[in-house]
Amino acid sequence: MRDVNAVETLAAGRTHAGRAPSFASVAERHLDDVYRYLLVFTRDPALAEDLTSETFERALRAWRRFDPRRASPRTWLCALARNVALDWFRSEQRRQRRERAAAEPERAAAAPDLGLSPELERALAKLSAADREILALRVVLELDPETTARLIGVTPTAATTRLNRALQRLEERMNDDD
Amino acid sequence: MTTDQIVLELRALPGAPDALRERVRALPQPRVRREWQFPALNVRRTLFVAAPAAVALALGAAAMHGVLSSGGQRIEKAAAPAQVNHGGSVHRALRGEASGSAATTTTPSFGAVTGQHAMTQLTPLTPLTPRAIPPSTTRLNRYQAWLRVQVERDKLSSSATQAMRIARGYGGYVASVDLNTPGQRGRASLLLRVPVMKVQQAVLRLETLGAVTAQHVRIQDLQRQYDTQQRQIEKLRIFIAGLRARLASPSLPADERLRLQYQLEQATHSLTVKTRAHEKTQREGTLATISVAFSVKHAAAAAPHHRGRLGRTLGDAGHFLIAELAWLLYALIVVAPIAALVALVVFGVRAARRGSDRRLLEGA
Repeated sequence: MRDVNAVETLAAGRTHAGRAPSFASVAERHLDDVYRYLLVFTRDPALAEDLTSETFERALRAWRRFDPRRASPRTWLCALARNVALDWFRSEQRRQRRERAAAEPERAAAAPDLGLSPELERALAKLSAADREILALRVVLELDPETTARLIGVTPTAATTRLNRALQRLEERMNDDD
Repeated sequence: MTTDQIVLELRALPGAPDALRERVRALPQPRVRREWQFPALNVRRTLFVAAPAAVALALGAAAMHGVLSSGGQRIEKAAAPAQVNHGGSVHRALRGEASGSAATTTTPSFGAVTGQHAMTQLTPLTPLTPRAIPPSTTRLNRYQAWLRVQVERDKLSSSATQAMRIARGYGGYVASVDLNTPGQRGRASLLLRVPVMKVQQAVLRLETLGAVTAQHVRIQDLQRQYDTQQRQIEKLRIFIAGLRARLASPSLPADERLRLQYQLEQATHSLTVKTRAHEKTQREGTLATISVAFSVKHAAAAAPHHRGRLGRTLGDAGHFLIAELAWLLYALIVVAPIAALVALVVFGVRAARRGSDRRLLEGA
């Protein structure tokens, strides 16, 4: 997988005029990456849209603190997107606990349409959010192991190990489905 | 499906829908970013620069302190050499002659000050000019003298022996001797009794045995006490004689005789006591007491070396640097545990948060 982050960091520090990039240009450039990341992470296109929007709203508020020398805009946006997704997962967990406590039936989730083949979508559905996250970061966004490790808070070796296991489980789910 | 196919399919995921794109484009522009930001901290680079800068700052401050505090004349006090303490401290007093007036200020450590006394000024290890206070020739005095004499180590024993000879040579005697010579140190304490008329010569002779470093003379008038006792004795004798004369009368009634005999016994007893006290007073006024303490002379203290300006500067700068290091060490000792605790808490909270997120995602 090609490493684009080093090039991006260098480019992010300077526009062609030598100034820091604008928020609009950064948002335009990396919107698809953030959306795809959240799409694979949550397996819900509508939710991914909402979370993407919230990610860029947070980015807007934190834009003054962004330092392009410390991380590329894409890495920074992915970190924000991850936090947004985690917040959602936590609130979802609390909601499920409340429903279980109230003995309410869980809402039946509609089958997502991610634009993937049905068997891949079914296999993805059987993976945990942690596995989907690592696939989104390393496979979909093609982030390097160091950046991925920094984002999810593990060592690069652990990140690579998680990716291998996620891919292995994905293959197994797909083979089971077959 | 192979891994490569999975990867290709995942990378082919569609991008953000147009509605989302419009929503993001509609976000307001942020306020103008600060173009200047704090420089990104590179720990290694910071340490590489900050550490030598801190050392240079500390050295500069020490040098500045040394230069500022070493300026001008400075009178350095000579170090006081070690003294030998014989249980009494070296004392200073006003110079004065023995007289009938009461004494003055400080209480000497050798004994209580009562009546007449004279003290001589002292300087540690500075030999005194021998000067014995003569006793009164017309009145009865209790004469007490204390001398502290420093001698060479190998002359300690001979000096003590010589002191005893002096006392005996003047018709006196040695009341007590205490000689102790452990290792390189040594001391000798003598209590001499010398006829009071010879005490001046005896003291002068004793002072020649070494370097006198302390001297104390106390003269207490005993004449009044002696005369009082004498008068009381005379009165008692007269009284006793009168009683005996009355008891000799044959016509004395029995009860009167008994009473007079009782009075005679009492008076006789009082006369005996008073006579003994009178004799004691006379003896005290006859023999003077001289306490001599010999001590071993120590090696002379080195003359203080007067440092020049550069030496003082370096010395002061060195002390300042040591003080800085001490403060740094103190700060490290105090701050390090707190910093370690804070770091532990921060890392602990982060680790707990990561663990919680991991469990959350693995269960989702």
